[in-house]
Amino acid sequence: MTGLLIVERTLRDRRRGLIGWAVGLAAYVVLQSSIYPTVRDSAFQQALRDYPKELKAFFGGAASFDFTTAGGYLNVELFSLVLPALLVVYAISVGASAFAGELQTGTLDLLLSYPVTRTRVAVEKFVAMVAGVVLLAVVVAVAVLLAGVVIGFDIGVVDTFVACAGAAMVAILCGGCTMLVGILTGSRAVAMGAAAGLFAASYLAVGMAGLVSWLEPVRYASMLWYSNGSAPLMHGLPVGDYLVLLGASVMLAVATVVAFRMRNLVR
Amino acid sequence: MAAIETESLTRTYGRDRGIRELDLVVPEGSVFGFLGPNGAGKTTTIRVLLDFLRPTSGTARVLGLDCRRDSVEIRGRVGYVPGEIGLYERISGRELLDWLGRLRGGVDPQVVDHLVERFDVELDRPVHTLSKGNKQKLALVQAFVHRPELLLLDEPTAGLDPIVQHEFQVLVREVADDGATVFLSSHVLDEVQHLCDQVGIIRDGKLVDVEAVTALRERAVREVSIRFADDFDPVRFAALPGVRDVAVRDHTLHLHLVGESDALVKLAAAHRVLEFSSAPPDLDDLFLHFYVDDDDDRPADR
Repeated sequence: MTGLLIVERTLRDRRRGLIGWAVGLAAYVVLQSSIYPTVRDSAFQQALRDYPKELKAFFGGAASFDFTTAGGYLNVELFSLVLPALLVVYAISVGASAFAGELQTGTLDLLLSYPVTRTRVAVEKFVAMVAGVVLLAVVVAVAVLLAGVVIGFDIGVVDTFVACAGAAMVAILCGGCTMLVGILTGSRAVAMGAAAGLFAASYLAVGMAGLVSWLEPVRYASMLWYSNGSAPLMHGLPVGDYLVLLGASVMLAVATVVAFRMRNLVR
Repeated sequence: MAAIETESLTRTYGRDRGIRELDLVVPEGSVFGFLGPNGAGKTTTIRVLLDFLRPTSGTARVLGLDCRRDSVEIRGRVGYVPGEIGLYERISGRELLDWLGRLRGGVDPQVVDHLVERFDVELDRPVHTLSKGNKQKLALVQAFVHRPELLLLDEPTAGLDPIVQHEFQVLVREVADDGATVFLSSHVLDEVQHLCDQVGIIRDGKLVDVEAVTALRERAVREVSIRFADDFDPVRFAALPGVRDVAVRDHTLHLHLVGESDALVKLAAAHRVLEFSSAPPDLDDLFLHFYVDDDDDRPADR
């Protein structure tokens, strides 16, 4: 074993991108947080109360539209869609490069002409994707907490990290899906499309389940239901839900390794 | 022990691509040319040996090891240069070689420095800013730094200028003299002729023939053109051994020549020669020759 050299390579190659993402995410969080006092003290609350109930149902029910607390506000504005979506975009771009991308550029040939097992390559690439997502999620959590201190709203430290972890796991699932489809098809575009489609379907499933009663069970097929269905920023760690996400991530990682071990490298 | 030994090795994709029932033996310490037109299965063979592709059937052993089960050990003892390599391009050549060295579990920095100097490799610029030739030099260096016992070279000199090609050929001879085995795939007969002791000819996924380079050279058909200042007698040229398809246009003589050029040159020397050109032997002609030999006058079936 010669250390996590492939993780190191992936993260170093993406160093600039990662820094850009971190700065952008932090700036978004600060911007979103800075308008919270205005929203809280304005007639906006009344306007929200008058929203059609169908609309509210799609976005998680009336309880989700509680902007009297910072947690309620950030849950809607950040954690229910924007943060997971942004992390998903990052994870998909990493996942697409990891196999389909390297297959197309030929660097996978170079890598696998060295004395490394397929298992090691797949595991390290998955770990590198996870590491980038976790790093960005931590940056977001810290930005939220700093914004709270500066702007002066109250938000739980643990709850913030828990909510960020949920978004991170959604991104990891989408990144893993991109890797797996990339290995199976060899196509970046198909891999990215499949993962983006999975995320969009998950979002729609939660929304529709809230709107149409007979569609309610559909939400259990959505990763966003497990990550943020219980609004962990306000209500704390949903152990069972997160275990489902963790289990799915591990299964996806295993599937990625198995698929890569079996793959013929045909360009 | 053979450096490479395949038995009924088959790897097909689609209906007519890949290799079929390939029995290949590359003796240890030899410089073995693997010659065939594009699409004949050369790359497929090398990719199976590296475990990039899994055989449909048959077996392959490299350095006495099973190419599936012992692939990691094999790849530790082999150097690989493909014609078009993908390199990690966001870093400099120095960082790339350093990282690849660590991926091998450490290489001798003196060997790296020596090769870098010898091929005048650009190390300080990001790889993506390098020309194709400079990238190919990096690809060559990384394959030799760990003093591999076997080199798998898949059209390695594509994109290299003639001086570097020559330096590369010298290096290949050196490592061969030190006991390494070299397996060189190419579709250019001249490259193989210069380097190899033995040549295997592959066509449509099958090994057509294995023979010594000298024998191959005697069979190779060259296209020769000679432009004379004055009139000459084409009949005398047509009568020379190995000469065929004689044609005359103005004062220029066109012909095909099999075997050595000596008699032709001496006869031409009796005249004032303005221009003499001898094109490298064409592989397709060579293969056509094989088919004529094997199947009398049946045309080559594809």
